[in-house]
Amino acid sequence: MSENGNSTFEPALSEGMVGVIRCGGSEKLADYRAKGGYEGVKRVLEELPPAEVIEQVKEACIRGRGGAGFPAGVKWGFIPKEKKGPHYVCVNADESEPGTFGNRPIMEQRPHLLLEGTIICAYAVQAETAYIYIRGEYYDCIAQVQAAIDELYAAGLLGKRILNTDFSLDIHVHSGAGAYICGEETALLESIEGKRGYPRLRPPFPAIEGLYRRPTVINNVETLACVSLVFQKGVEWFKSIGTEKSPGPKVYSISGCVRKPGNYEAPLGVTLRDLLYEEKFGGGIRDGNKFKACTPGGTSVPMLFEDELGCVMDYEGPREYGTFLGSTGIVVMDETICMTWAALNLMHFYWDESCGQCTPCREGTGWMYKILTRLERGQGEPGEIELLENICKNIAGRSICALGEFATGSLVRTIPRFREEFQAHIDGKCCPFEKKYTEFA
Amino acid sequence: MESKTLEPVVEMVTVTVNGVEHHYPKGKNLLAALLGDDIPVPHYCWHPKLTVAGNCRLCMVEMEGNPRPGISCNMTCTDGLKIKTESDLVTSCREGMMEFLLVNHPLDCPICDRGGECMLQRYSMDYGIGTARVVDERRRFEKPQFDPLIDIERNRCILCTRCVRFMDEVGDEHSLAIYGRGNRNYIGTFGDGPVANIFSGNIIDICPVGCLTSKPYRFKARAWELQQVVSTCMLCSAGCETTTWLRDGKIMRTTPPGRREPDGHFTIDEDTEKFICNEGRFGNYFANHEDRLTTALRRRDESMVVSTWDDALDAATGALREAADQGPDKVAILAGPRATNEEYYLLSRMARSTLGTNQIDWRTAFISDAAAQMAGAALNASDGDLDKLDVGEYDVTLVVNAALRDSTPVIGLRVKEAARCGKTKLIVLDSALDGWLSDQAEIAAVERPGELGAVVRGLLDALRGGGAAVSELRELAQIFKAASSGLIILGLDTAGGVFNAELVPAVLDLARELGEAWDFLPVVQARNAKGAMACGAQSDRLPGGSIRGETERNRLAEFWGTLDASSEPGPTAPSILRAAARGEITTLLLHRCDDLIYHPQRELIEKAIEATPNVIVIDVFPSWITQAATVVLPGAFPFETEGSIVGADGEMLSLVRGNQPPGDAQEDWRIIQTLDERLGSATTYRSVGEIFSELLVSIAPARPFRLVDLRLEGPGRESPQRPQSVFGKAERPTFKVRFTDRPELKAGTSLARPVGEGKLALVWFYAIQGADHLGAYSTEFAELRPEASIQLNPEDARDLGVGKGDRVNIQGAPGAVGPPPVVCLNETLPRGIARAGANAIRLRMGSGDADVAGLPQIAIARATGGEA
Ligand SMILES: Cc1cc2nc3c(=O)[nH]c(=O)nc-3n(C[C@H](O)[C@H](O)[C@H](O)COP(=O)(O)O)c2cc1C
Ligand code: SF4
Ligand code: SF4
Ligand code: SF4
Ligand code: SF4
Ligand code: FES
Repeated sequence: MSENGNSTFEPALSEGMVGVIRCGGSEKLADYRAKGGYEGVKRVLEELPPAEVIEQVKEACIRGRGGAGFPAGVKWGFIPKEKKGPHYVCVNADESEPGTFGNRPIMEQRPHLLLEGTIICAYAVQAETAYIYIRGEYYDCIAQVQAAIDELYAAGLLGKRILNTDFSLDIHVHSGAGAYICGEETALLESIEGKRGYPRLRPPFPAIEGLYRRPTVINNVETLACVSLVFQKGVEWFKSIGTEKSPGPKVYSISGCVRKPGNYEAPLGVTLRDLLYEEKFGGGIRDGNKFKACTPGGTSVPMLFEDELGCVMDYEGPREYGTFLGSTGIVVMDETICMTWAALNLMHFYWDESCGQCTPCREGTGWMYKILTRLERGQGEPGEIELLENICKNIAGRSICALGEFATGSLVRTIPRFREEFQAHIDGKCCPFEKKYTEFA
Repeated sequence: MESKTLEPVVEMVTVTVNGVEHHYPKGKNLLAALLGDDIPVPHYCWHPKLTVAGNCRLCMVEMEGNPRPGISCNMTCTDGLKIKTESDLVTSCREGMMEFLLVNHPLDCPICDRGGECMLQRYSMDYGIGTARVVDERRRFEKPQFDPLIDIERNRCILCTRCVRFMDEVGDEHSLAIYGRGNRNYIGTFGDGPVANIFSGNIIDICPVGCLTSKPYRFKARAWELQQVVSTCMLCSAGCETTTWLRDGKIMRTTPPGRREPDGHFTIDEDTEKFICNEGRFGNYFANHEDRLTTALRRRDESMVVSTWDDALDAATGALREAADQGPDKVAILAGPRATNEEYYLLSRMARSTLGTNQIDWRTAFISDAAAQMAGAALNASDGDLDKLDVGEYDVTLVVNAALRDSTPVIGLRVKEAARCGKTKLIVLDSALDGWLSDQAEIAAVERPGELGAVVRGLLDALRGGGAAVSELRELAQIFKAASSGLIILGLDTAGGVFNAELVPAVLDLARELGEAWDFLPVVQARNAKGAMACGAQSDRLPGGSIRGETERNRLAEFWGTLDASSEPGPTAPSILRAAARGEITTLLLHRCDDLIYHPQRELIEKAIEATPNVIVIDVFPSWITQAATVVLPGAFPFETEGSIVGADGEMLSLVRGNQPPGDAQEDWRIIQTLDERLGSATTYRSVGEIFSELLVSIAPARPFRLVDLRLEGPGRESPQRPQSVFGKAERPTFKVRFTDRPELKAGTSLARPVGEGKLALVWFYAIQGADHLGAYSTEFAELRPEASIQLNPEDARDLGVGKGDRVNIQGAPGAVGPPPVVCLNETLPRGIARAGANAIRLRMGSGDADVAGLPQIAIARATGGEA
């Protein structure tokens, strides 16, 4: 283990869960309470004023697990203190990023860990309604979270005057609309409002004008699960895990060409090498093959390569290489994978999922997808690799939301690193690799 | 130096643009500020009248200290902001965006109606890289037929959503939306249904490319081969500025004012853009119609035959002279309400000076003498200076008895917009809410037809702190008192002005009570009623003042040589028509008689024409009236003549002549002038300009018409009555006022006159002019325009066994003779009341004074032989 990975680390988010996702058998309220669950809520509601809750979350430095790593406490602090109308909390459980599936086991097996954090968050920002926007395909998650909410209402932990305090809260589960873009926080708000999942312009920011144009906090499932842990086990406990700037545990989703794909909980700051090769995690590359590349944070971020396995997997580490921790969805590609094909595969996704609102992303993803389709079939024209790089430049930083830039993630570091491999498709007028997995038409 | 009036202090901030400091109002939209300063910034999705969408990403600027560019349309001017609109980064953004927009854009320019005025063409030339790097096939969409007026070619769409936002925010119709995802996105309507909105044509202009184009204009012409004539729409009294686009003397299209760029490119000026209605846009094609009157006609026995101008003029002069010699009450002029100020002025001169009569009047739309008198009084009382009808400037806007959307759409739109944006508090008071304007009202109140005046009186009482036991009236009075300024809009010709006698005095008293900070805008459907009144085409008024005014008389006598007409007011148009019907008039001159053609009192008009030996008509189209006339003189349309017009806001607008009238037809002012000359008048004018200068001097003392100048001439005022009112507070968006909430006001008892079994009282109005005579000649539009409709209360409809979309007959007397109108349900209508455009459904009602007391009661039955 790396120097950051506390050797005594006990998985706290996933507890009993091991690598693979298990279905069914979610933790019941009584079991959760037996382990100290909802003690956090009790203490917060009875003892701490909202401002103090925000202070503690700031102190714990819970980085947003949804991708950007923005400190949750700071975000909550943006909500106006003086309440002039409803405030809202929206839980981002839309988890649609390829190779990212860490929210799913939390909702399926430990829904109360999410709900406790949601209640604390709502209390801290004075919201009386929270929505949990769960990816529509996650039927089990929707069922388990709803069952857990029902338990809470029955136990007086939701609804009017929770635990006989002045605080009231309703939580609604909202089924996702079936589009990746609805995970983008402002598109998610539009979607809850019943509109088309189009990201909004910023400013205004959701903390000022969010859901129904009211102040709104949007947090990822795992972020709120961390909040529960902080108030159950204390700020010090939380900060004892992980790195200084990125404390706490993290669920890493590992998939692709590894021996043991699955979700693994580890302290933030574990190295990429450990995650891929340790027996308790990925267990090494399948078939004894050589590692070629991986996405460190979901397919939206630029890739890491063989000589970069030492990357420290916290919010700072990947930045040194020009990429991001993102959603810690690690998709592994071994030596048998054609990088042109991989890029095509991902571009198909982003072309398909672009909401089409803004020019560069709508047109750029479609154009790159067409070029990559030809390129991969050996029908590329000389100069088109450079054209792709140029298109990426024309998209990045110029679109409404980050999806435009995400679409360039599979290319920006990959082309310079594997230029010959891309070029070989043009020169040889065919793909030099044998194995093919999917055709994209 | 000229002294400036005090303007509200706006904090100015310093914004550095390309290294140069500029001062802009704090918080102003940055893109608007830059464009206003003539700093070019290409943009597609931003439109000054719509919310910011920020999706085209073309308006990007570089911000100092930020490696990422930002979209200027979503930035505001803040102090110390430093941006660049010209830099390598900005150039690369623009080039990149233009290239992206062309990835899927078809090479349609040669066959695209937008060519030559397309913003995609334009920016491609100005900001594009000039070469194409795209080799792949373009995406293609099926082409639906979704709207009768608007053609859609989705392959050309750049998805800027201007059209969607227009329909949502201005049209208030929510019919357009984006369907699909990603680059498969497309603009559409549910089930490819029509966009269906009276303002929908504007999306053709605001679409920056050739995706949405005009069907009537489709493949007709290229913008650069057209002649543009700045004009004013004559179809209603909103008097929108328009540009008429002509080729070879034919109207190709009508748009809001446009602009030709130095490079020959055409753009509709966005900043000053005024949205126009579909009637104004598509309804002007009538001028092209081959049935136009192109020669003079004279009666020979049973038929009208072609005549030389000379003969026709001789016949006309002879008839006028003969009648005038018999006495001033034997000759009369009815001046249609769509003429220019100069035409009215000349007609007035001809009547008063040459013929020596005061029997000249424009008020043919009114069904009784009292209604017409009161309309004249109201117009006379209106303030001349409403500052471009900027309704948002008023704290409170009160709309009384006015069918604004249906008769003067853009006035309605201005009010609605201001209310929707929260700039003005809208109060609507009517006997039949339209459900369109009233939806934006803070308070919308329905009162029994005929009792609106009493409500206004009650309000007046409450304002004076008196009685008004009705708490809603006190509440309303509070709103009025709290307002620092306000506007009162009063519909004068609803139901032919049947409520005027009571309503006008009450509203004028209210306006006077509220004081100087309140403006008063009386509205009639027909264009330039105000001009007719001001220029003396009204029996009790000379150009510039009352018929009794000594100064006016002396001044005009000097201009005209003589002024023989007496100082006693002549009869109003309804009275003239009645006198004619009794056979008391020898010669009748009808100038522009479109109002009479589909007049609801058809029988009266027929009798009047039949009983009058000489009927001289100056008009542009044949009609049953020209058929019945003795002499017909072919005239001209607005863009075929010069002249001036008084706008709804009291402003003088000018008409520019862009075209010759067809055949032998002549400009109307020349016809009137020649007639007058032949009658022996002393003065001749050689140009419209000459008339205009004289007219300006003549009418100047009476402008602006301030409320304090009001002299009420006409029937005495009704004594104030305590109103029985039903008020409802508008809780947007689910506002409803239910007449039926009060059991004692159930249908039947609620009306001025009890409604007979199975009958409905019709609150009628003059629908926009295109709905009738002229509309029928606008062939391009005639088949495409929405059908005539009748609004019913849903419960009444159920009782009658008819539903939304059904066609109904309105038979019997009174009844309607047009094609069966389509039923629309309007739940804000009181029970027992129907609402329709009289000219659209071709209403026929009696002419006896007894009928005038109330509304026509009609029987409705489902039309048979419709679709199964
Ligand atoms: C295209 C796109 C998709 C996203 N999808 C998700 C998602 O599925 N789940 C998620 O938590 N955040 C997603 N995000 C990030 C959210 O916008 C947002 O940053 C996050 O929900 C904030 O929560 P956190 O601060 O707790 O991380 C996405 C962002 C983008 C641009
Ligand atoms: S970047 Fe892509 S996903 Fe985001 S708003 Fe623009 S088109 Fe939609
Ligand atoms: S929309 Fe403009 S660029 Fe496109 S085909 Fe038409 S004229 Fe040409
Ligand atoms: S149809 Fe025209 S206005 Fe509407 S989105 Fe497309 S380009 Fe824009
Ligand atoms: S509102 Fe009236 S004046 Fe304006 S365009 Fe329409 S018809 Fe013409
Ligand atoms: S005009 Fe600013 S993004 Fe379109």
